Amino acid sequence: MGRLPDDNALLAGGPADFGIFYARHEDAMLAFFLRRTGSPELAADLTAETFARALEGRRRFDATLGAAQAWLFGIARHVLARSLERGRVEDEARHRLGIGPLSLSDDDLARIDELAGEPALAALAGLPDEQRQAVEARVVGELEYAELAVRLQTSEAVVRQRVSRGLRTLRARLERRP
Amino acid sequence: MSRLPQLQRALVAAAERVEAAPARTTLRRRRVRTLAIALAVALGLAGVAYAATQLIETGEPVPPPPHSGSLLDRIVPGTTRVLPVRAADPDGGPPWGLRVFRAKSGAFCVQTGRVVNGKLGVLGQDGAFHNDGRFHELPVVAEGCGGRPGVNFPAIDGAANAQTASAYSYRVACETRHDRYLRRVVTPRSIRAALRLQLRRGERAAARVERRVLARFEREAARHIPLCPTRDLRDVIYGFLGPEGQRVELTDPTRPALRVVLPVSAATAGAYLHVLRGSPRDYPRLQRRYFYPGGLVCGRGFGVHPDRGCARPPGFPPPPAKRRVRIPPALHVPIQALRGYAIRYVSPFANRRYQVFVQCNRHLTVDAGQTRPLPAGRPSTVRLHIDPTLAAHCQRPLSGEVRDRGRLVGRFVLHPRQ
Repeated sequence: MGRLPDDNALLAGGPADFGIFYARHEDAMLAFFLRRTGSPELAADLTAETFARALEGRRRFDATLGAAQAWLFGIARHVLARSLERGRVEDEARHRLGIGPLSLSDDDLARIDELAGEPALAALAGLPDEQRQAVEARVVGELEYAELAVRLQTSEAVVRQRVSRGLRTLRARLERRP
Repeated sequence: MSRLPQLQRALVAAAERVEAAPARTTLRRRRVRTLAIALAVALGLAGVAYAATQLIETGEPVPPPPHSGSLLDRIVPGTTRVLPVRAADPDGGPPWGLRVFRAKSGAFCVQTGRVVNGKLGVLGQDGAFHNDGRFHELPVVAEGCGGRPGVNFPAIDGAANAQTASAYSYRVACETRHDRYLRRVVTPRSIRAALRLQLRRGERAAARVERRVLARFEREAARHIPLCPTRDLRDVIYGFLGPEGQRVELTDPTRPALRVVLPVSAATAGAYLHVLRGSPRDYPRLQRRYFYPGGLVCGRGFGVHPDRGCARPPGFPPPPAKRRVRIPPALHVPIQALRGYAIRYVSPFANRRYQVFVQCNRHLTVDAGQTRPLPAGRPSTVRLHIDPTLAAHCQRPLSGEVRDRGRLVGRFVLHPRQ
């Protein structure tokens, strides 16, 4: 069995390669959006728009600037921010590409919901409130420490300490898992 | 296996289409974009309003303001409802809506805000709620109240207010020009006037407290709060035409592009709502015209001349006939005039507030205020609330009377020093 091509090769390849690229990153995208919106339908819609944009912009992807996954997460964050700003899921790229709306069955939704039970997310939920908020905002929301300090109404040093302790606890809990 | 195989198939198919027709993509993109814009325009508000509620996260509700003791703060249970009237925000997002309720005073009150899932609230933006981008439900608070006797809907003739796009009307990161004027000029001026009056009356204890209050508000006035940028401000225009209103037209002779026609419905007592970017100061010549059956056109604003009959447009029932009130006979309680502007008498009723009037001259009767609730059966001293400047121009001696809901309690004659 041959070695699977890397993300860069998949993005530079043909339609089937993009299908593989999608399958490879689908879970990460769905989990990212599920965590942010709490709704499997919205997570699916946002994921579809993100991959549609990735498909449109794949020729412009530059591997020297970073990994394909980071590039994809950049698109995801942008789609989410724009959707929150406009109050509805962005669908421009899907319109342009002629991708119709998703029709999701209960099984599809259940499969997306399974991602909510990811061990890391479960461990995150088990953190003390202060640490969980700090880790979520820093790692998932990618906020700067200064901004985070304002939002949590505390000093930057305290925020750094909470994030550090939270991540240490998470690591320890995940390593203990069988 | 993929979790969403249909999406994977759709993406692969889309990739094949893109590969197959690279040259046509731009044209197609333009056509689809044009079509999308046309559709968006055609679908209008309804689509935006529906979609806008999909993605907003909910934060903690807006805390209720301290109870002012006003009857407008007391809500008649079961009268609160969000009307099915919506207006798009110039920057998109959840639509604006109107909530009406009845206050225990009998007035109808209105509150505006952004609507998500049928609830009225504010958005965490423009400095509100640390710009968290979430929806925060508003407590029921009167923003504007009104009504006419016998009219069973909020007969409010289109109040306009400046607030930020967040719909959060408490001062946050920035303020409107009107808020600044109130903070820096109106509030300190009114406190200074109250202090002057207390000093003239020799009310030293009250004046000490008033000085502290003035110092606090002067510090507040000196605080620098930046003005909100115009793009963040909203002029929220609303009103009620009554059940027979047909439509509202908003125009501005200085802005030819501004012409909005809003159909109204009898189900909402002819409620209308529209949101403009900026504050009311940016639209000094805004005209509102209200259309009724029979060609009757009412309205308000620069250069708008309502037709005859607009005092009571169709749908507004006539006011109920006033009941004749029989005033009980006078009591003629003896009232002792004290030095200065004060009187002393025995209240004939328990815990009753009395109205005091002073006859300044033959043509002018001055309301000298209402007493505190007085205990029955023992003498109480009542200080008259009459401006010394005004009193200086009144004839001497000053005659006056105490009334209880119109009924004469007693008369007195004051001999204040000049």
